[in-house]
Amino acid sequence: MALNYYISLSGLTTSQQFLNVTQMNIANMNTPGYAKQRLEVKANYPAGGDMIDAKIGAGVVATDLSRIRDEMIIQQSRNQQSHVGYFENTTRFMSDVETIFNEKGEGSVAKLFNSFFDEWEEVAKYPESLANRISLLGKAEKMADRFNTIDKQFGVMKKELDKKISFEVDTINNTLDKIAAMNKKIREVGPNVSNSMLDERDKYLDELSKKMNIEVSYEDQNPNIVTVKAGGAVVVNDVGANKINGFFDENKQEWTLTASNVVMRPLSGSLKGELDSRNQFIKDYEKDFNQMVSTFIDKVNDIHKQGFGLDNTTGENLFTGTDASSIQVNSSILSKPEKLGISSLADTPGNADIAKQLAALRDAKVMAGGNSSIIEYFNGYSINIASNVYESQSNWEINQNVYMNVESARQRVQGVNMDEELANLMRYQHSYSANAKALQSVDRAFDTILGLIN
Amino acid sequence: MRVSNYDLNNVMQYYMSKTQNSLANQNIQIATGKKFQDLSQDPMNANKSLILDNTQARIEQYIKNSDDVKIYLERIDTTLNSGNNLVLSSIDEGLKAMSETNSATDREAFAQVIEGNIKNMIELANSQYLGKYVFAGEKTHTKPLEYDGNTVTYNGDNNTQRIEVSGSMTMEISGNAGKLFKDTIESLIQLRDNVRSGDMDKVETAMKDLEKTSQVLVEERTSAGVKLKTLESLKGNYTDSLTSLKVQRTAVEDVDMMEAIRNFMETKNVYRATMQATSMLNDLSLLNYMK
Repeated sequence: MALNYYISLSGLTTSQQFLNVTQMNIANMNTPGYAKQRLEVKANYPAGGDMIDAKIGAGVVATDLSRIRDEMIIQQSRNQQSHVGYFENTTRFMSDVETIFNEKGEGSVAKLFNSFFDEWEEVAKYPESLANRISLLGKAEKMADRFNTIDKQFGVMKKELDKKISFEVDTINNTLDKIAAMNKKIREVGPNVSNSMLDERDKYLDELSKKMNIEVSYEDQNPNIVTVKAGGAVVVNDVGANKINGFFDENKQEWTLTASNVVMRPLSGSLKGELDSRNQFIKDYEKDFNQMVSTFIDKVNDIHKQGFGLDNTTGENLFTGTDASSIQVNSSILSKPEKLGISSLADTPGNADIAKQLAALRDAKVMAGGNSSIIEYFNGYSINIASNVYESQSNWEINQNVYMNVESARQRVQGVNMDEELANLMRYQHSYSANAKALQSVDRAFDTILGLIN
Repeated sequence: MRVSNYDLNNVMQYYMSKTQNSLANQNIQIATGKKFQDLSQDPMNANKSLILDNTQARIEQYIKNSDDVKIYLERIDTTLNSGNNLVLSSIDEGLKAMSETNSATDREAFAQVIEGNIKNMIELANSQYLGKYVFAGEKTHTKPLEYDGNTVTYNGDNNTQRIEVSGSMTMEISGNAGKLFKDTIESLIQLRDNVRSGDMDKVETAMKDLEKTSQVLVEERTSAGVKLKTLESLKGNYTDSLTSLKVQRTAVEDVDMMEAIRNFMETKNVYRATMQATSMLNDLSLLNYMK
């Protein structure tokens, strides 16, 4: 048995490693996606030697550096994040639609409808009055202009959504490239891969999961390599990224995504929110709105063309066009308000039968299979949009809350607690000092022995 | 249970942002006095609000229509009253003409007064309002009565301009001079001619005829009075309805200011407490005790 420098030296080295790990944890305290590291150590035993020496052991040895994480919670967190991304985008889109209509503010369509029908009642009282006719035509023009503007705004929103989808696809492809590149580096490094590389790849996976729901699996042979599936397609396979392609079908007005020749159908995520908004919601909103405007044009024209103007003009449509994009007030009536067909009889300027019929259109059940008036239908339409915004917003908040809880659970496992690390810092500092002291004691003992020789 | 600093900050930021958002919304509620600015903030109440908007617009239009009918009816009342006065004046002239001491010149003077009344009556029948003839039925651009000194012709039609004053009631805003004035004017012509001829029996008969035919002016005036009463009652109902709508709208749209201010104060205190707690929590660390 001899004086053993090695035991204290191993303690000194391990304490230093502990301090390094603690430093690393403190340094990454605020790094997104960072998983707290833990040095795994065990008591070292000697290869041989005398019985007592063998029993005492050979100090301490670091066996591994673990990343403290729970894959199941991470998957839950990513899954939840994709729901948050979905509802965040649908809420933004629907709020934008609500803003187009601004039904509690100026330019409200319901108010325009009411004032249009009010004007017909005014005209019905004074059918001979040019001033009333001009006022009515002004309201009709304002209404047509509002419909045109709404249609244009729908068009702008569609273009914006197209741009967003293209940009989102590019961003996702960029992230897929990064994940594949990290897989490549990790494979090249082999078993001693840096935890930071794994953390960086996890960060990209987190980013990706906000944009679309993903399934992450690990290779059997090398558990450090991930395969990523999204919407039914493999998007990262080993070191290769299968980029997503987005095609816009002009006829169907629909986006289709493919990856590695498979049609991709993400179930959630911000991209799915944009796809649903573009492929479904805006089309439905636009269709319902146009259906109302078309019915309005048809019904008004059907009645108006039976009427006679002050100059006995008859058979004229009040509105030209067929939907919100094309509706205009008939220019020949606009330039000559006396052509407005108000009377049901020729040469009878005081007759206002047609004006009365048009005023009565306000309450006529001409929409929704004869169950709603135009104004009732439009109010229902507005409330439908408002309810969709409300529901989407609620879902966003609920999912955000759930995400916060799941993410907290994730952080409870892998996050860094500063006080915990500071306590460790003190602990390992003391441990380092103690080992140094022990080393000094051994050295002094050795000096004593050497002194005997002298 | 472990708490990571990263999570601690995230959670604090999340809840502080939520509280700040509530504060902003409550601030807007206090500033505007309204529960919601966008329909999506409260779709249930927003739906009620839109229905109230439509009902109010409808009632306001009925009030406008009622006001226009009222103007017409008051005009009718004034016109028919003037017409009635002309009839009474003519009867008075007829009575004066029945005295046997009257000379032909005297009778001609009486006839001239009656002729003046006829012309005034024609003027009343041809009166205009906002550029249209009031008593021409729907032929409002056509002068309803033509008079050549001996005969009177009605050129309007037998239709009536009517407007809605309620969901189930319409009222006319044009008259028919053919029905209202023509017979009376013909009786006046007969009286004038008989006064001029000096046939007292015929003057008496003409006066009786005039009384009979002019009855329509009295009846129509009475009818206008009844309609004015109905309109007043309708307008009263509409005013009540608007008041009731206002109350309903207040319940649906307006914030309870006391409650809004209380909520704001409460949220403000929560926000302040959160900030203070966050600050204290951040100060509380082993870092402060390490040498």
